[in-house]
Amino acid sequence: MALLAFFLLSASCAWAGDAGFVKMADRARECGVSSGMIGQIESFTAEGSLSDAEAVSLLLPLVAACADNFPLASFEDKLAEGFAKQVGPFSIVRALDRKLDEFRFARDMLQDSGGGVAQQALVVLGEGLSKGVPRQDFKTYVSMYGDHAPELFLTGLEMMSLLSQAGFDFRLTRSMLDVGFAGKGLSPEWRYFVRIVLVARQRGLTDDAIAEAAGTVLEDSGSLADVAVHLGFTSRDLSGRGLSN
Amino acid sequence: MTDDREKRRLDNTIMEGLRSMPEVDPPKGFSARVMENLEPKRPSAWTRFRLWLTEPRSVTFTPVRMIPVFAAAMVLLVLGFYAMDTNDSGNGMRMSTIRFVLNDSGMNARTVAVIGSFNSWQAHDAAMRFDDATGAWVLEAQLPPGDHEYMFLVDGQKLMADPLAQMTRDDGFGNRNSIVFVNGTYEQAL
Repeated sequence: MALLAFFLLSASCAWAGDAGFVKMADRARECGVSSGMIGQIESFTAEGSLSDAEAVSLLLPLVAACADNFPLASFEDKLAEGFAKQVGPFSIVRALDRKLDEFRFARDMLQDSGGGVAQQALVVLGEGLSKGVPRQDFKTYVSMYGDHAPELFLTGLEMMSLLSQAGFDFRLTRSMLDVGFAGKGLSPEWRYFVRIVLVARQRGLTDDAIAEAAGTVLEDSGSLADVAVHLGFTSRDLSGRGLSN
Repeated sequence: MTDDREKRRLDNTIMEGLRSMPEVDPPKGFSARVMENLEPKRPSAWTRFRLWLTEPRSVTFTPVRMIPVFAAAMVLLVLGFYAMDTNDSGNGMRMSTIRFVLNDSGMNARTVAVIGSFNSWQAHDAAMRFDDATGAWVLEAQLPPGDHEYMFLVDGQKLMADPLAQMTRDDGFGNRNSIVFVNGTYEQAL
């Protein structure tokens, strides 16, 4: 992967000699990359923090994302994060290329499912994959639940993605989703079910116990507050305030 | 002396002449025409404004006609309270106040900021204040619903994950971002 990124960076540097940063910045601007982001790269280039070739290599994944009709916000956010953390351009390009790769995989998966490529689902999938959710888990989810109503599908998708990022066993997630989809009890608030999991774990509860309580509540189309009560704590523990409180 | 005597004599002659003149009535309507042609004195703008303010007025209304006015006023009042209560971000998203806290714990930091996906990772609008009472750096920020990644930026250089965060993620750059979940409107019951 690192070798591939190095190759891409080298190729983009060579390309930069022909087209130059100015042309690439114009292309990015036409594509809808924010003027603030382009201005930031221009100022880094002007002050010598970035070479023209590095600036081009940073804009390339954004232009590629634009060509693929992917939402640019995710890519711009990663670029801004890299700049804020003073990460070298090579590492930022590698992270952007990985994100691009994951978004392409997500788009292909949605197209193959026959349900069309809804932008919201694409973002949840692309971001989830970038953050470590296994491709196979998403493939299983899309194949099993892809024929449900878009809102229900999206709620389950986000719930599953966050649970996976928290290390929740996919087998347990599926057991809850099966009940939730069957009884239509998967209301939008369930996408943040992971908050219950995090609090319950702090209290020493096992993931099996959490999934069992959630399944029972979903059968009755209950709420997250009902799960909290089942697990022996109150909804006050899930005030939704900052976790750094 | 001779001059004075002559002037007095002349004055007496003129006064005697005036007294002996015949009395003649003014033409008919003379007074009215004179008064019509006199320009009335226009008060200054300030005086007119002061008179307008201080002049008493009487207002008459019927209760039936006032009902729509009261109804409109009540609607505006309710909408105003609702707008204040929802703390809308301007794009229809309900914002929540999130309190970030970082204990200094001997770091002796000069500045701390929260950088994250909710502020485009920009430190300039996210500086924390040091609370002497608790010895901690504190920031209250307005965040839209969703899961947000963030880190603390200490002294403008050092990155720190939130030790109190319940969840973290690999940022792809060798650090771990802390995660904060913010309620959506439908989760207010929680």
